[in-house]
Amino acid sequence: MISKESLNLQLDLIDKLKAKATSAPKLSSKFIKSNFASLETAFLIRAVEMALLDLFAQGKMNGTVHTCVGQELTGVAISNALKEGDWITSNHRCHGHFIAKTGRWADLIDELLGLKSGVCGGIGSSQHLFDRGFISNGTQGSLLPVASGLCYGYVRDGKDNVSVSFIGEGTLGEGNVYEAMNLSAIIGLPHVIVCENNFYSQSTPQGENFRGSIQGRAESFGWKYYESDTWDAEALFNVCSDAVADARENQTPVFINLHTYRLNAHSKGDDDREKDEIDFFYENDLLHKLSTNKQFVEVIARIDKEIKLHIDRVLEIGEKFAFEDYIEDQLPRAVSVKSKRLDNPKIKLIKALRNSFDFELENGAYIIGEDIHDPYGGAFKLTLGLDEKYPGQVISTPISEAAITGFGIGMSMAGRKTFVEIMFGDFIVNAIDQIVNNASKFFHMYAKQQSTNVTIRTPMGGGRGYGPTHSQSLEKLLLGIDNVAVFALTSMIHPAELVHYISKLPCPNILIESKVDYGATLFQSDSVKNVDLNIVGGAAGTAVLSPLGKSAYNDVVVIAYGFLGRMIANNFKEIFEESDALFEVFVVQQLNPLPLAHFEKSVRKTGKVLIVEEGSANFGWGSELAYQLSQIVPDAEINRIGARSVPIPSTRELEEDILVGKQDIINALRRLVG
Amino acid sequence: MEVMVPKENNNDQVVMITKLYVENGCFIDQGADLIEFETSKTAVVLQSPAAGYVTFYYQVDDEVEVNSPVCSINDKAPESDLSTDKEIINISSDTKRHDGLTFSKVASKLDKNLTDLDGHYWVTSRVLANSDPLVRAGLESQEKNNSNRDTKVQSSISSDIDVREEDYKVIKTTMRKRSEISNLRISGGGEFQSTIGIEITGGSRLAKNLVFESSIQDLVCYESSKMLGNEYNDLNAFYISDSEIGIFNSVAVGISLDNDNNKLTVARINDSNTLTLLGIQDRLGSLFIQFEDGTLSAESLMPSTYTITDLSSSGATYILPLLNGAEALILGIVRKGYDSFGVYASFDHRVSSGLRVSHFLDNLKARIEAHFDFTSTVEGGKCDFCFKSLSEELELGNRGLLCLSTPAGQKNICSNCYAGW
Repeated sequence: MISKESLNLQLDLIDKLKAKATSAPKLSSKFIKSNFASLETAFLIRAVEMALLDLFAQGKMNGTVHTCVGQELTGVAISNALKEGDWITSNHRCHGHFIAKTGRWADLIDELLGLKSGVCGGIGSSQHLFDRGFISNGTQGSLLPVASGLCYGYVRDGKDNVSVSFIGEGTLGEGNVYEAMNLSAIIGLPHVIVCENNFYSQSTPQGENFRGSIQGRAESFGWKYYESDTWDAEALFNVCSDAVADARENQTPVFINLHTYRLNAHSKGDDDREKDEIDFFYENDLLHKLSTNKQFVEVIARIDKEIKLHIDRVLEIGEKFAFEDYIEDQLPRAVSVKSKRLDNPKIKLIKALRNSFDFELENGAYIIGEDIHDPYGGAFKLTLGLDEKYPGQVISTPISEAAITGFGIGMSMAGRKTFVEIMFGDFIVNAIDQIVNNASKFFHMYAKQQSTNVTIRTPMGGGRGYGPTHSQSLEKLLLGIDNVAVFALTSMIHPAELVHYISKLPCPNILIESKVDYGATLFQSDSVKNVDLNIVGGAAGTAVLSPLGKSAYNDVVVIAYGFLGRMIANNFKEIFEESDALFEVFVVQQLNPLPLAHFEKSVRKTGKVLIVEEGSANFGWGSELAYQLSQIVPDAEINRIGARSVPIPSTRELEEDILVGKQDIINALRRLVG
Repeated sequence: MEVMVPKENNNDQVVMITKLYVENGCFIDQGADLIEFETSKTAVVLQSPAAGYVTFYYQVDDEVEVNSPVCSINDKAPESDLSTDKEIINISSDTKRHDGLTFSKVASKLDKNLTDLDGHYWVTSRVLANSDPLVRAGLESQEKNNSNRDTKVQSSISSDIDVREEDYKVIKTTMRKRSEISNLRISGGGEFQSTIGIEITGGSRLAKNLVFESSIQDLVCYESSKMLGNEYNDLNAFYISDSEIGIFNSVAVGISLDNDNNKLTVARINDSNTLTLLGIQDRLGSLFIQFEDGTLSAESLMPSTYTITDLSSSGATYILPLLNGAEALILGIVRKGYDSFGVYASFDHRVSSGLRVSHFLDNLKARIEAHFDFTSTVEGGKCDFCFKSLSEELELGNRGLLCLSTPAGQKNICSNCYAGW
């Protein structure tokens, strides 16, 4: 039940809105004439929306739709102010924005009919549309940071393009919005937010959901504020034009608050608003008033006829997207098994990594993260010196993991290879929405029209006593996300080839680094006697430490990654002596997809596998690896060990007991060899 | 849950485990046979009170206190513990390291033939098992047996007598024997020696031997050695403690020698159970000569595993021989009549029993008497060459007819024909 206070607020807001609606001046003939095409577009949008609702009612459409009937002029007004190269990011109620920007009304209908000829091959449907210059997604506010990133691309290119983000006023509850607003303001980006303020968030009145003022919020972030409504079209078009021009010419973020009213339900039939209220705004709707205008009667009739003809045709001949075409992803599944000797230079991993990024920056890449500017150079000093060497390519941001990640996605859409640094792996959960709902989805839901080759890199792991929220290894939360590859650095292998390799991948990818491993000198092949050190699989290959002698006597294959792989190599002799197990160590760099071919042969030979992972063992990487190995080598005896499933404490002894240590590996090997 | 040793009778404070029906770590059903142990009265089989995985706290031949836990029955199988010595077959204490080879700790405790490790750099116990035939064959845990040796061994042996550890193996005495010893100790005033005698009939030997013409010492020596080396090996032993006896690995009969000039001495014949009768006779002859000359070797003066003392050349008709040093059996021979001998066996009741020794003597009698020809009589004999009768030969003052082994078989020959031969 809405509280009395909220109800009163809402009633007050609606009253003011009604006043706007009734006090709007009548459109002049001059305006109508000079903006006839725009108004025609508005009628087209409405007609398409109504046709879609009709198709749903007939059962010829699947899923859902959020029509913008009553709000058509917002998209038209903004699109009038845009030019080639500008981008719109939209939301669930995107049809009007899409048609206004692209004109592809027929493809939109096909999309909702699930046809291959649709905007996104029928895959994305109503909420997930894509075209060059247009992108929409169903999660509220998540595309705002993406829009910021796109803007940065324009700025770096010296272009005067803008990004326009459509939101509803309900989206002002999402953190993404404020992170993006802060970031765009700090950098000074031509980012336009258009808030279609229709005073209802789905079923919840604004009076219940919102406090303060929209203007106050925008201006508190340093954004320029504009306001208008959809009843005074002339004022609307002028405001939008001025606002966009302001952003474009002054490279400044601009917030446009557009009052409007949704005449239809939130989606198809869910509407708890008072009928009288809806009827009032319907009667005062501009398009409704214009619909009786003789000029527009013909337009409406023509539009309706065209829509009907199109629908009739596609319903007969329409083709669906094929399963085989859809299912294929961009993950690097092809794995090389070429092996070569591994000789590492004597250099610390952190320095080798910095050099690797130096190379990438030299080739035009960007690094974005918190506290990465010189002289600080990042929490682990990875970017030390790079900011000064490559100004503008090392972007230090506020503490906004979601915005940073979305920004990186946007930059990659703008053609800029971007490495997003999340300071501690523990914080990556703040960016999960960007990874899962944007980066992961773009390729498939937009029918493979948009790739996102952003790299998100983050140091994980315990061993420093940093405590529960600074010591986690959260790989398992990131593994198995659609179309997202996951890699792990290790001081067993120089990182340069891997970094370059992942910079070229078409899919989004995550690079797990180990804060404990940063300080290690790269593994030297002569540091353990009587072993061979090779790398199999090329750039994303696996380091293989093989004991010399008759390999038929090898007992176990040990598969690990990151710091633990290095720890096992460092203690190879002692682990062997204590466990009475002769083992071959595979330190993988590619965690997903699993490079089974790198160690399949050895697994078949020994029949025993020990998987060692840094994160907690249950439901982790080791479990998936064990399953996949069991499919190809059914008789193999496989064990996996990982950290205990409790938050990692700060006290040293307890932390050691929780994390995987040398003795855990010895004990596990002993159990395997009996 | 733990399984306790039940108190079967009021006399026993400990029992001895004689059988484990399942292996350690294996699953057992409720009610299945679990452990057999021996009390002073009888053998008892304990059934498992529950189903589960067994962890034994003891092994066969171990003694367990009554009312104490002997094993546990668990829901999960026990993990193997490579760190315990029980898991390691310790053949030799030598651990050699070869340049370039790294041994696991388990492997370093095993004996190894390094030439079998060519091509290896990292050596585990499995590498050794596949490379070394001795390890592969599975060696006995001699070290474990030796480590179980009771220190009481030294206290039960005279400080003058040197029994080398490698010359015997230790076995546990039964609970009943221990109870018997205990009772003897109480009732017999500490005396544990018993003597049983048997009469053996001699006569005309099937294989004549001039030296042992009127004695059966060689036959007793020969046959008893054979028996002690086989089915009566338990008499070739000595008492260590109430719970242990030592069984000698070989048979070395001791021959008691005494004359007016030299003191009583026991000279031994090594591996007497492996010699033929002629060999025994030859060794005995040598010992006699050496004893007379005072030239017995030090080796022959080493402790024997049992002793024979022969007084058949004296007029004694009864003997009660005393056990000698670390032995459980001594045989004394006396003459009962012209062709009749008495063999008396004194034995250590802590090692054996009267029934056992009497069986031994029965068999010994049968075996010795088999050396004699009881089918020919004095009256029926004649010289096969001149056909002189035995009685005629005796009338001439000769002892009798000689028995000659010829390709045609055994012949009687008188002294006149023999001299003319």
